[in-house]
Amino acid sequence: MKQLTIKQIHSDLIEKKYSVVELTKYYLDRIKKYNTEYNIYLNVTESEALTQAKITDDKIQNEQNIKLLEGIPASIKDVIITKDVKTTAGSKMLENFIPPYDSTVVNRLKEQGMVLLGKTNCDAFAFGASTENSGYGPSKNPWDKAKVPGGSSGGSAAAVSADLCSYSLGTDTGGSIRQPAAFCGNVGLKLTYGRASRYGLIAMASSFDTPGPITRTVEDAAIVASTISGFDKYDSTTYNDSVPNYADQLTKNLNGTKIAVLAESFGEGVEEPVKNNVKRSISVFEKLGAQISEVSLPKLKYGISAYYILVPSEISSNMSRFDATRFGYLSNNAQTLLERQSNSREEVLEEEVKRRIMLGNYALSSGYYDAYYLKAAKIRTLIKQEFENTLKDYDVIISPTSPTVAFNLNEKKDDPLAMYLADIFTCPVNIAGLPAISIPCGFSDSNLPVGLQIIGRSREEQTVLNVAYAYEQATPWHTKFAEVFE
Amino acid sequence: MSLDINIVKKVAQLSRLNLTVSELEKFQKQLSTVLEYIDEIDKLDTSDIEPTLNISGTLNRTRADLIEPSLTVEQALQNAPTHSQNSFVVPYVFSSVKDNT
Repeated sequence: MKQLTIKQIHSDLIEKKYSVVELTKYYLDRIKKYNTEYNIYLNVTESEALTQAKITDDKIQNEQNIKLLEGIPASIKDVIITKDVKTTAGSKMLENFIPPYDSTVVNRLKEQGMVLLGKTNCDAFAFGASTENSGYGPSKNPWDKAKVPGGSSGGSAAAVSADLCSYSLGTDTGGSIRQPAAFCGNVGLKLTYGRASRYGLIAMASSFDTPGPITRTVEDAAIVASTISGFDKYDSTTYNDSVPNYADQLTKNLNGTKIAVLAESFGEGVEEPVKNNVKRSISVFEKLGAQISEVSLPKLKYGISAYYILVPSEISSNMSRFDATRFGYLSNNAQTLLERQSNSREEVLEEEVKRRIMLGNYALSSGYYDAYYLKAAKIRTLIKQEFENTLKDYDVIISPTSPTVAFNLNEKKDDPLAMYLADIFTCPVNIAGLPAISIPCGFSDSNLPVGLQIIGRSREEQTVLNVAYAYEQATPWHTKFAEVFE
Repeated sequence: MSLDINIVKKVAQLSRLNLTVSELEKFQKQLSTVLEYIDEIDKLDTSDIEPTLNISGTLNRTRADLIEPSLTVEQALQNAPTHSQNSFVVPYVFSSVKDNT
């Protein structure tokens, strides 16, 4: 039952090689074995999982047809709400929060018969790139437990890597699906902004947040993407375009595909193993029939600055809902309304959460709004235009996902700016609202995964998936698993 | 460029965060470092550029003003720290109301 993909499980279930209950118990036992050490799951929903597993087993016993995702055990990042299942956003602010409804993306997976194994660890409110900002302790990287799994969807990526679920659902605001996927050797897909609904995502930055899959293979990501995508009346930023069956339309044919290699991929600050593996991937694409050129996008280097004004600004607004009124922690030491709000937030919000709220309120406050927020919004236009112009001449842009491989726990924890610079290749994609995927492209000498990022035109996730699929099928990386978990 | 500590205090108040003295000092340092890095945005000429305030491309979506199924009162209140009957309970906003002045 090791490291199975969605289609493998589906055909095994139909052939009755094992039952859904047996498969679910396999994952639950592994979680019991490894979760204390790796701190991947915040909440394991054992009885819900086995109940759903039995429902699907009964259908199989009765010779009824089951859907592709039916009976497949999955995990969900804890910033995505699940009805009646505790959801904490990785923060002590929501330690006891029980959502009264499901997010749209979870609802769509449940409609297909997903078996929910539990909720995975993340940086508090998704603010971070290492999972070290979680109010419940960091998760550890299955490839090396002295290293971070990346973030903010670190728990989700580690869960897939450590074979503690078949796939996971995360969120990506500045790289939070792609970067942990890169650090953990998985596939992480960020959809076009508006392709999948944000309804039920605990909001971080509303014009950046995107839910998406972390999986073992590109085909699995394509399957989950088709399921969660599509117009949602509860999210007015979703668009009406029909959702293709991305998996059925995957092709390995890259003849005539024009690929731009981001020249900045090989600059200062990018580690040698990252540069080397990304360089080597170029020859794979050439063999597959693609035309490759190096292209510079000089405005992208302003991405971090623009991002760390716009996102904290939106954060500061979204975090106002945590005022001890409708949900969340209430201080024991508060009489007046002001004390109730200020003391409750002070006592439980994690440090990075406070820092981003402060940064955002500063950038939006009177006297600073024009110099910071408005200026950053104009840079957003410039970055978006630069991507769009480049993608008129090329089908995709490739770059490293992250300038480094997984770093040590505690290494960047006390240096906020160093942590922010981890997003240098990923956050411009969210600034522009484009689709992008991270796929494994090799390893460092210390056997840590390196991720390759493929960025496409708005609403063209099929092209992104195809380029990724062609590369994946021509390379061995998707067959490599972390040693501890063999 | 170091942020004035009084500005940090003001922002903390806007943020509804009752920060400790040591937190104020730490954030003063850290925010100053981040803002110093961010100051590079002054290098870009954006005088003729419109800001991007809408990334989805969708505009005002409306629906008919009809009542649809929603949360029950119990569900809406289930996570409230203090509630009474059908309401969330909060302290008085205006002290004049409380003191009847």
